[in-house]
This record gives sequence, structure tokens and C-alpha cells, in this order.
Amino acid sequence: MKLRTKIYLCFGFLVFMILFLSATAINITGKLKNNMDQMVVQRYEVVRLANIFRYEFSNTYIPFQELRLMDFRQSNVQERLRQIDLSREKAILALEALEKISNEEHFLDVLPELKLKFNDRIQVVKKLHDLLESGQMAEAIDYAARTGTGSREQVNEMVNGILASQENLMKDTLASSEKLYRQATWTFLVISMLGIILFMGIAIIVFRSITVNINKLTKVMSNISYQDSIENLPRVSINSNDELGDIASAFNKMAGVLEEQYNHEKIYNQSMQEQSWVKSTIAEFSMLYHGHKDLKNFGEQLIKKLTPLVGASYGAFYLLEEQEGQNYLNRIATYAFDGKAVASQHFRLGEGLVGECALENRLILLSPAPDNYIRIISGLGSAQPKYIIVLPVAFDGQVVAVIELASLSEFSPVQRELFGHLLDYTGIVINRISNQMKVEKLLAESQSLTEELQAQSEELQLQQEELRTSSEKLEEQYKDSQLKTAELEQIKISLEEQARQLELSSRYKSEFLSNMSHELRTPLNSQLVLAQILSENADGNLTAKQVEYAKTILSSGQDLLNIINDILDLAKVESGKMQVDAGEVSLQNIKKFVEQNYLPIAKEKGIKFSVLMDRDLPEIIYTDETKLKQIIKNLLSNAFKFTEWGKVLLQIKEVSRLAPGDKGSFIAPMLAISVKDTGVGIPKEKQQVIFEEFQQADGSTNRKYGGTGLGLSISRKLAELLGGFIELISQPGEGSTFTLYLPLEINSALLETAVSEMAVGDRPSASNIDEATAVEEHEQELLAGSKILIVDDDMRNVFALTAALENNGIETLFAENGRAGIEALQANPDIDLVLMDMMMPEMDGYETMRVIRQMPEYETLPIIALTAKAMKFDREKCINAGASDYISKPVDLEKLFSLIQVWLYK
Amino acid sequence: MQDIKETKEHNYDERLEKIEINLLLEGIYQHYGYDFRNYVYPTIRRRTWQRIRAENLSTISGLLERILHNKRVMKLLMQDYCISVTEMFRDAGFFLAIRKKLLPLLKNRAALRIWHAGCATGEEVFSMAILLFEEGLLEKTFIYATDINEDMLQKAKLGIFPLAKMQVFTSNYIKAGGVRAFSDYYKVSGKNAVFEPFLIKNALFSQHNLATDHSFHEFDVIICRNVLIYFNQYLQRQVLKLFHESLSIHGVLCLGNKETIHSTDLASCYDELDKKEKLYRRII
Repeated sequence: MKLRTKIYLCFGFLVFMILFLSATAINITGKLKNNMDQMVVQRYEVVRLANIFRYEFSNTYIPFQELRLMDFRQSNVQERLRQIDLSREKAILALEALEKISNEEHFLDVLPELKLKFNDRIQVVKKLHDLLESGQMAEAIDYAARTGTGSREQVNEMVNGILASQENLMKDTLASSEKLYRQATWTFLVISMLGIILFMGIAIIVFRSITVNINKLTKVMSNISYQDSIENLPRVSINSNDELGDIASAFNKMAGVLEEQYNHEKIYNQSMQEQSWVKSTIAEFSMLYHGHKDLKNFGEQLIKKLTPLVGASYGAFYLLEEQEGQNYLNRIATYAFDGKAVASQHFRLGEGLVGECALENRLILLSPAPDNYIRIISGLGSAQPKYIIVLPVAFDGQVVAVIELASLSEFSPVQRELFGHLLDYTGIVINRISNQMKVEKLLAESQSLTEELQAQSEELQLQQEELRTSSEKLEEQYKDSQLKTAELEQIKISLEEQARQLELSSRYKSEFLSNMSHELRTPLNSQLVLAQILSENADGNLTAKQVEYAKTILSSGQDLLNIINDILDLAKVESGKMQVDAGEVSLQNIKKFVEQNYLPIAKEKGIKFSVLMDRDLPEIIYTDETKLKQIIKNLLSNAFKFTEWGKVLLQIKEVSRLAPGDKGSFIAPMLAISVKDTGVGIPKEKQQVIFEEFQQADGSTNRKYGGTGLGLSISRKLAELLGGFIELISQPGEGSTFTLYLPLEINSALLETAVSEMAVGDRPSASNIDEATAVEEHEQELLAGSKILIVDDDMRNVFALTAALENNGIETLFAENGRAGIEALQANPDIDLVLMDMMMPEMDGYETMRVIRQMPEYETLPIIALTAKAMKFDREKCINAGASDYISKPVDLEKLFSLIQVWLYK
Repeated sequence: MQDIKETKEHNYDERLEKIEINLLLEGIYQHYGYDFRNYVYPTIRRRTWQRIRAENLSTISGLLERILHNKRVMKLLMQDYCISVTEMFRDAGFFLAIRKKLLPLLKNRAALRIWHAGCATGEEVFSMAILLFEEGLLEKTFIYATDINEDMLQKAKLGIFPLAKMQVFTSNYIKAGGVRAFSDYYKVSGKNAVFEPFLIKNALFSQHNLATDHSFHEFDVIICRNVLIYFNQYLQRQVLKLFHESLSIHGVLCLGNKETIHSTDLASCYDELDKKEKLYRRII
């Protein structure tokens, strides 16, 4: 039964009870009222009517009495008659009413009798009435007297009877009413009590049935707590059909859904956990994967981490490597590896499970592992793994490595999933690392190639240097052998002691000359510079004559200087201070040099001059260029000097000649440079003399032709120095031919001999040359004969520099400013070096250097800048303008000479 | 003659050649103590053949025999192996970097120690000394110049360089940012320029073999240029390790412009002070 029905029923019953009790009460009250009505209305009516009847009936007797008593007065008769009629009428009405009532009641059985009596009376009355009316009074009084009053008593009696019965009836009615009331009260009471009891009973039952279920429900619900697992929720056991039943079943359903939800969630959570484990593991591995450059290292780290992570107890990592064109799986890392294991270090593709796994790129599971497959060993014992898994690591579908794991327990699906993810990732990493390794290898290779290249280039450089110095080494070797020869010839030398003594005195003479010349040259230089300045007459304050004088001073001075230079040269050669600086000499250059220098002179003198060179000449010979030039210059100067008309011919050819002296015992190809003139010629007897110092063919020659007569003797000595000699063929009046014979390549042994022969001294051996002497010699040699241009506007400076340079045998030119400097440079292409002052009027040093550097022929000409102050900025400016080096003013001469030697070195 | 020997060299069995060269180097090491076993092979091979030609021999074993019994030939071979190509202020950019980047860092040190490993004939030692002098650091600097070749050290001590090279040296000096005149530092004597002895008054020249000898001090600057290129990877690594052990924290290692520290795992211990000129500053 539904809760609503129960509540309706309960309250319906209550309403019904109230209605029932009300109806009962109304019913009882109605009955009571009826009784009262009956009692009051009916009985009372009966009583009233009976009384009325009695009264009126009595009234009918009054006239009779009055007549009897003769009080009856005629005058009243009429009225009496009417009264009697009225009373009769009223009596009839009352009687009729009584009759009506008596019809309903049975108590009036006396009524007809009454009626009879009454009717009788009426008759009597009527007779009287008629008698009276008819005026028979005496008869009326007799009649009235004869009719007694007897009936009246009877009627009274009867009426009283009626009244008495009515009174009894009323008493009965009252009694029954009281009885009825009492009965009704009891009934009501009883019903009420019963109703209340019944209602309470029903109510209790209904409420109990509701609360019990609710309690049950509450209890079950309150039993569910958050802490408790909601895996098994309590169920409500209410089987009723009511709303609580519905609630219970709804609750049960809800619990069911919750449980289901919980279970779903649990499964989901678990899978989430597994996923997150997989992910975090992968993340951990990715950390591990970071920064590896070496696959072995990587493999070790991987296997060391992976094996315990998946609960495996043995692991091996095989890397696919190429060896001799074949792919091998090489075990590069292991975990808990048992050295005694039978497994091999290498697998070919398809060989064993490892090889198979790599070949097919497929996971291989061995479960359960066969007995004695492998044993997992610890300090306490060993066990047989149950499961073996072989995993391929692939990149781009190509297997790059294989991992083998053995475990005592089965691999869970999550672990397998992990494998899946990890293997992909590992493949990528291995690929990355191997690429990186390749790149690094290539890088290293390229680095080592670069290094080797550098090494080779240095080697080459060294070899070049070795080549360059090979000639020097050769020289040294020759010196060594010469030393031995010298030792062997010791006795011979001692025998020649006397000759040496002689020569020594000659050398003293030469040295004296040399020193004298030096001393002479210094003042002469100043004189020459001043004479030049004067002859240029820059200020324009000299007369033409004075300029002429100056020019004369200059030219005589120059002549004097030439003589001194010649003496100096000779003295140098004699004293053995002159060294041979052998090098490659281009014959074309020689030709150019000759033409450049002598064509103008020939033109001036009106003589033909030509240079003839054989076609099959070597391009290059190996000798001392400066000295060669000097010889040629001497010969040519000689030729031009003694030739008034005709021609001078320079001829160069290659001949085979027997070298003179005991050393030249073999025939060698030699260069023959002939100077042929159509001059005066030399008589036969004089031909030998002219090669001696201070000798000329004719004593008068000196006056006529000038010159010191030193040229030929110097040339001869120089020729000897170069391993050659000079021959003269001449007829007086037909001109003469001087031929210089030179070896194509200067023979160092020969050279050494020549030097040692000439250089008389107390040198104990050739290899241990007194350093100071050697240095001095070299300086002289490097500096002497070079040509330096000084560009400076400060005369004092020019003076000082010129004097110092000339002192060292350097030919100096000077220019007052940049423009003049450039002109001087163009006029003298053989200038070796320029000293350039920076601060000059008109065109300063920087500008001048820039202009000079723009001329292609002077790109490499050494230019030394003379900077005023040791200012860094100035120096940079100098270098940028094209200076090769710089030196600051005031010039330290020692430094200047060092510098000049550096830059003159070729 | 030369051609015949070239072909001989070319006809040589490569494997045999390798064995013989290994034997030669082993022999040199055992007998003389010079360790060329980790020098770069192709160079050693070429230089060996050069010596064989010079000695008029035909096989490497023949050279070995001569080497073991003739000290003079060993000396020559040593010179062949120790290729000393050097110049003053060689690679001017390097010396400019030293001047601009390295020396300012060392300006405030109370004392400086510099190691020139493989100084050869001393050109770079003098260059460095000139730099230090011009930057006002020479007085408080001690230079250790070492080389495997005693002969070269003897030359280096003299500070005498051929005149022929002076023009190049001068222009190198200017390019390297020289602030004085180069002629301030030398005097010409004969065919040579003699450098001022004050430059190396605080320098010690001594024999040291990078391949076999150990570290002997802690240095603020180590200069070793174009030496590693003659070493193989292994020896390069060893030598770089040796330098690392000999270098103070914040000290600077200077290598040749074709050499690098990046081939070793020591690279992370260094900052690049100048990438192009190979100045590495030790940071840990």
C-alpha cells in the first residue's frame, strides 16, 4: 500500500468516525425531540381539547339551571340561546379535533360514548332551544327541571378519564425519553471510544510502517562514508511498494551506478598510472639520452637503467655495426652479464634469436625460457630466468640495435608498452648519436687533414729554405775539404812563407791606401755636396762664372772621388777584404745595364756602340753580379776612353777554355765577354804592364786620357776573384780586344782558394774566420756600391747623412723635396733605397711615398721614413703611405746602418 | 739519380714500409730516448725518405742501421723530423691578439710565467719579449722556452737571425701593432741581425720533450704553435693534457691557427679568448 493511501486511509477513517458520531448524535437528538413533540404537542392538545370540551359541555347546562332557578329572564333568552349554540359549536369542534387525534391514538376509546352523550345533550338543548324560541316558557322551565344534570356528571367523568390517560401517557413518554437519552449517551460514548482506539491503532500502524523504512534508509545512507571504499556500497532491503521502496530501489540503483563508476574510474586510474609510469620512464630515459656522444656509453647507460626498471635480471645491448662490408650485431653493453655465458659477442643478421630479431625487426619472446638457457647469478645463488625477450631497436624501419632481457617474472603489458615507446625513441637517439659520431669523425678527419696540410706546408717551407741554403752548405762542404787540402799543404805553405811576407808588406800598403782613401773621402763628400748645391744655384745669387767654378769643383771632385774609389777597390782586393757574393745573374740584365750606361756616352762621343750576344747562351750564370758589372764597366770605360772614332763592341759568347794555372787542368765551358774597340791599341811589350797598378801604356797617356790606370788591374783581380781571367789581344793603331773569361758557375773551391791566396793573414783555418773581420767585410760589401736617395729639406741633416753613407762606400743622391725626389728617382732607376723625411715643403713625405708606390717599378723599393717624433700615429701614417720601415729623428747612425742593411739585403 | 730513388720509394710495399718505420722509431726511442712514435705518420714517412735519399741509402732498415751506429745521422734525422718553420711575429694577427686581448688581462699580475713549448730557433720568444717590453711587462715576466732539439735551443739563445728574413720580420712587426721602431731591437752584424740581449734576460732555454717529459711548473701563458700538427691524435691529447696541468686557472693557452683544443674533452675547461687566433683561457 502506498504511503499516500495509508495517510488518506488514516485521515479518512478519522473523518468517517467524526461523521458517524455526528449522525448518531443527530439521530438520538431527533428521537428525543420527537418524544418531546409527542409528549408536548399531542398530549397537550388532547388535554386542551378535552378541557375545552368539558367547559363547553358544561356551558350547555347553564341556561337550564337558570331556568330552574326562575332567574331566567325573558330578555336574556335570546342571548342565552346564542351562547348555547356557541358552546355547542365549540364543543363539537373540540370533539371533532379529539376525534382526529384519537384516530391516530387508541387511547380515546371513550370518545364515541362521549359523542353519544353529547349528541343526546344536543338534542336536549335543541328542544329547550326550540321551546324557548317558541316562547313556551313554562314548558321550557318544566323541561329544564325534568332534564336533570345527570349526563353532565358522566361527561365530566369521561373527560377526566381522558385527561388521566393523557397524563399517564405523558409520564410514559418522559420516561422513554429519558431512557432514550441515557441510551444515546452511552452509545455515543462507546462509539467514540471505539473510534479513537481504532484510529490510533491505524495511525500507529501507518506511521510505524513509514518510519521503519525511513530509518532503514537513513541508516544505510549514513553508513556510507568517504573514507570507506566505495567499491562495495551497502544496499537497502526494502521490498515495499511505496515511495520509500522507490527511494530504496533508486538508492540501490545509484549505489550500483556509483560502484560501476568507481570500478571504471579505478580501471581508468590504473591505466592512467600505467601511462604516466610509461611516460615518466620515457622522460627519465630522455634525460638519459641527452648529451651522449658515444654509442657504447649510451648502450651501457641504457641497459643499466632499463634492465632493473622492467624487473629483468639480465640484459645485453647489441649494436648493428658494419665490419668489412658485413653487418654484425656487436654486444657493446651488458647488465649482470655472466662472463661464463656461452652467448657470442657477435651475431650476423639472422644468426640466433638476436640476429633473427634484427633481420625481421620483430620482438621475440621466449616464454618460458628453456632450461639451462642462461642463469641469473648473484652472490647467494643462481636462478633460471623464466622469460626472455629480444627487442629490435629500429630507426626508419631499419634495425640499428637489439636489446635482450631475461627476467624471473613475466613482462607486464605496461612494460611491453614501455618497450614499444622506448625502442622507437632509442632508435632515433642511436641514429642521432651515430650521425653525430660520423659528423665528429668527419670533423676530426678534416681537422687532422687541416693539420697535415699545415704540416706539409711547413715542411715545404722548410724544404724551400733547405734548398736555398743548400748552396751555402755546399760551400761549407767545400770549405771543409779545402781545410783538409790546406792542412796537407801546410808544408807547402810554410815554404811559401817568404813570399807571404812579401805579400804581407804589399797588404800593409793596401791597407794604408784603403784607410787613407777613407779619410780622404769623408771631407771630399761634403765638398761635393756643397759644390753640387752651389752649381745648382738654387738661390740664383751666383754669377754664371761662379756657377761654372762650382761645376768645375764638382767634376774635379768627382774625378778625385773616382780615383779614391779605385784605390780603395784595389786595396780591398789586395788586402783580401773583398768577398764574392755569388748569385744568379741574368745576361739580359747585363746587356740592359751596359746599353743603359754606355749608349749615351757613345752618342756623345760619336762612336758606334753595340752589344752582341750568342743565341745559345745560358740565360742565367752564377757569379757575383756587382763585380761582373764592375769589370765590364772598367773595360768599357777603358775602350771608350781610348777610342776617338769608329766603334766599340761588346760580345758575349760561350767557349770551351782551359782554365789558367794549375787548378785549371780541365776544359770547361766558359763565358767570354769581349770588349773590342778601334782605339789606339797597345804594343806587345806593354800588354803585360797595363795590368799592373798605376801603369798605363804610355807615360803620356795619363795626361791625355786621364784616369789612374787602376781600372785594369782592379778588373784583373776581380776576374780572378770570380774564377776567371782577362786576355788581351791588341795591335797598336788597330784597337784592342779585352776578353773576360768567366766560369758559368762560380766554383766555390776555386773561389775559396782565390780568397785564401789573396787574403794573407794569420787565419788558422778557413772555417774559423775571425768574425769581426767577416762582419766588416760583409758590411762593406753590402753597403758599398749601393745607391741611396735622401729626400730632405734640412741641409744639415742631408750633410750628416751623406757624410756617413759615403764613408761606407754608399753612393748618395739627395733631393730637397718630394717632387725633386721623384724626379731623381726617375733619372736614376738604379737607386736601391730611399731615406724620406716626412715634413717637407711643397710635397711632404707621405704624399711623395704614395706617388712613388703608385709607380709599378717602385712598388717594392725600400723607403725608410724619417719621422720627427716617436709618435705611434705618425708611424701608422708612414706605413699606410707606403713606407717599408721607419726610424725616428735624430737618427742613430748605428741603427740606420742596421736598417739599411736589412733593406738592402736581396 | 733522384728519379730512380723516387720510384724506389713509390715501389715500396706499404705494409713493409710501415713496419720498418715503426722499427726505426722504436729504435730511436730505445736508443736515444727521442719519442717520435706518435708523430703524424705521413710527415715522418716523407722526412724519413728524404734522409734516406740524402744518405744515399735505399731502405728504411738501412737508415735504422746507420742511425743506431752514427750519432751524426741521428742529429740530421732529428733536424728532419723537427720541422722548424718560424718567423718573428709569424701570423701578425696572433701577436696583435696577444697584445690587445691577452696582455691587458695580465697587466695587473705581480709576476708572469710564460712557457714557449717548441720554441725552435727562438723567433717567437723574441717576438713575445718585444711585445712584453712594449707593454711594460717584460721586467716581471719569466719566459721558459723549450724545444726537443738542443741545437735549435743553442741558436735560439743567441738571438741571431739572418738578414734575409728581416724585411719580412719588420713588416710582420708593424702588422702586429708594433709601437716602436723595429730597428730599436737589433744591430746588423754581417749577414745577420743580432737582437738585443736584454729581451731574453729573463728567459730560460731548456730542452723538454713534449712526448715524454712531464709538467715542470705552473704557467700563466703557454704558447705552443704549429707543434701539435706533427703529432697524432693520441699524442695531441696527451700534450694538451700536459698543458692543462701546467696552466693556472685563468691562464691562457695559445695554439697555432690550424690547431684546436676542441678535439679533446678538455674543451669545456676553456673559454675562447680569441677564436680565430686560438687563444684559450682556462676557466676550470
